[in-house]
Amino acid sequence: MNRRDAIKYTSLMTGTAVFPTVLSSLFASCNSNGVKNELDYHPEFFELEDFKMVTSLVDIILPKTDSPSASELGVHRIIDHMVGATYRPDERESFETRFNLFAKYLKTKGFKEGSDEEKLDILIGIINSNDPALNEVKSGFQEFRQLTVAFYLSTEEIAENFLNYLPVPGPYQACINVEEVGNKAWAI
Amino acid sequence: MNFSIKGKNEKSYDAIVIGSGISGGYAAMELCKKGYKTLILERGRNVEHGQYPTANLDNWDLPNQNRVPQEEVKKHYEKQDRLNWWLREDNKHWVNKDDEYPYEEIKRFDWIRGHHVGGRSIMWGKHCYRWSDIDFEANGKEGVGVDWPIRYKDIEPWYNYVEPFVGIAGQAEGLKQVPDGIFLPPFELNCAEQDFREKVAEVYPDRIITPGRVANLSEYNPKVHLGKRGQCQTRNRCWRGCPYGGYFSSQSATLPVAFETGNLSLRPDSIVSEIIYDSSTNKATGVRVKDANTGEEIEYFARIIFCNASTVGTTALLLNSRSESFPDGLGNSSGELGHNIMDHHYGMGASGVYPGFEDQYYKGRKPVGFYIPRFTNIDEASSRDDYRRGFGYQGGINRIQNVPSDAIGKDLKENIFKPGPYHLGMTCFGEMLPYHENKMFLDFDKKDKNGMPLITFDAELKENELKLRKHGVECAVEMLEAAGCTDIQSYNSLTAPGACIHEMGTARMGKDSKTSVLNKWNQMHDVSNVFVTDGACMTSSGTQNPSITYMALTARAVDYADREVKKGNL
Repeated sequence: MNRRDAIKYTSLMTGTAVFPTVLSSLFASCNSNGVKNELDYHPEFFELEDFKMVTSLVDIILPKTDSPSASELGVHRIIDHMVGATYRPDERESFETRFNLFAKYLKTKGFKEGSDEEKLDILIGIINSNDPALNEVKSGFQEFRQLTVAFYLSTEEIAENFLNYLPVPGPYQACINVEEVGNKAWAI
Repeated sequence: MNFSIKGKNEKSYDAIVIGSGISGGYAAMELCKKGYKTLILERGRNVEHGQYPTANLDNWDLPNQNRVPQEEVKKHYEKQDRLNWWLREDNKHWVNKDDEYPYEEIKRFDWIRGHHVGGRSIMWGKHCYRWSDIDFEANGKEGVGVDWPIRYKDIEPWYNYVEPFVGIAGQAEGLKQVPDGIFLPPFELNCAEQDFREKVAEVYPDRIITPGRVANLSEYNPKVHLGKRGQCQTRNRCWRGCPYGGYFSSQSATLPVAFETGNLSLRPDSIVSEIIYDSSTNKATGVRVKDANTGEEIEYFARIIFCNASTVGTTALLLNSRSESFPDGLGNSSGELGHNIMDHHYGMGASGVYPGFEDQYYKGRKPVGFYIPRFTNIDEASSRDDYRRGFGYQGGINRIQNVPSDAIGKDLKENIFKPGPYHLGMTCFGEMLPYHENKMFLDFDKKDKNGMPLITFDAELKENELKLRKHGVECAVEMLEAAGCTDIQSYNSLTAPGACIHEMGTARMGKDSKTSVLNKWNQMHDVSNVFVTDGACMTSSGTQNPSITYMALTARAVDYADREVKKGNL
């Protein structure tokens, strides 16, 4: 792993050091706000137009494969609800600033009108760009991507069916071979 | 555990214990074991072992991904949530609402607590480290505050006495600054943590990375771990209350053992407003209680009284117990009651990515990571010119989510179900000196809903603490560098006193009744049948988490009180 990767890996962890409560809640799960029907959902944080883009974004980031897509699990709603209802005012403001820059860029690239392939290309373009002018857009995107993954992994569906879910582990084993658990991450 | 009706009707006991948290539970158990009919008074609601509503919930079962909505924070928890990391959906029933239990601040003080049977023994961090003579001698040697009236040899037998029952998982290291205790097998360092221990030892042999010593039963022994204890299941949800009794709390350990003796009466919802003093005998005769539900005022009487209402709670109660003999609060002839308030301070440390060990993993969520005991100012070689005392660290190295920075779409999905790189985080915990001007007091012009004057805090960290913090961060970074970590980030965000939830010192022990409230037996200099064995008694703060020391001092004080009773002195 190069240094740039390392930074990205840990961007979500910054400042959260050692408290297990922080770690667990940071990567904790969320139900999808109790709303089943997409049409009944009224975004708490995003403007309606942006929320449509968010819905599309989470699925470009995590599309349906043999596991569900992000929007199938309500990840877009979770992001909206968490930012809208639980972020502190300063957290919300700083998220908003970065997201708006990112969203504005996507609009200039015609993201909304594009096909899924074109949308993916736009995002890959951001990832691969070395243009310093795109730094803020990039960090807005990386934050959004991290949130998408974190909330996706902490849904009950993924935790219980695609990760190693072990609610009552019993005695601790400090070092095991990762193959013993199929190279799969612990769900909680 | 059952609510005792007897406690409602009978008014006289051999002993009264005020508060049912970690030291109150211990005091009650020891008194009951010695045959004392004991009444334990708890101002909060009853909670029986097993009544832990969130203990088995996964985060997707909890609202808002376990975060408390801002609207609710604003309404009820503005002070309690300033820590950022503490208040959550899974524990908010253990946290007082600020609008119901207000307090005042001249300077910010994070007074984090909950009113319920068991107190903070339910939510405590469980780390248990012995104090050493480096701690007990420091005040006297340096001329800071007052000298401790005890030394390690006085408390050592009592650590030996309480530790097996508490059940502490830990590793012997032979260190003079945190003497070894009687340990259960440790929650071992994982591969990366073990590597960290070795790499740091190569460069800094005095910095010992050891498994945190915690009151979790890594090996349950029903003959020793009495009460409602059981094997720790490594769920790492201790703060919610453990249905397995995997860690030590009043509910899981001391209260059930006390009840078994037949000598305990527990009365929850009982707010002690003051201790009743009789100037003709120069003793306390009992306590005045207000029933939190009915408002009824009741007096209970006893031969000896143990104050274990927490550092702040006990001191508030004593300050409110005013009489002709003690116009400024019971036992306050020294004028020190409420002063010298301390805490530990944190919010500084470092984090980074720990390279390697991709083939290895761990199983279980151990309830602790590593601990690095203090290593400065412990001898000539480690002495510092820039600050007094020292700091320790708590931390851990765990595999985080696997989110490669350049992956997206199907490619990203192939990665995210795998364990990610190891990430190290460690936080520094520093000693805070006792300053007379750091204090709490009562504002008698303002009352809470129970008619109790409002507790007011006026305390701050000072130059010594700030210098110590700076070095704590530097040393953390040095260790991560020695281990070859990447993306090292350091931080130093000043915390307010109280934020570590280790408040102590407001009724300190000392040799001289003119400058301290308690003698070497945790007995009031002024009123011989009143004992204070919670954090209020502490003469300095050390760097160690304090609860095990409170428990040892409590058992020692009960033993002393019993001997005094038998001698006819009490």
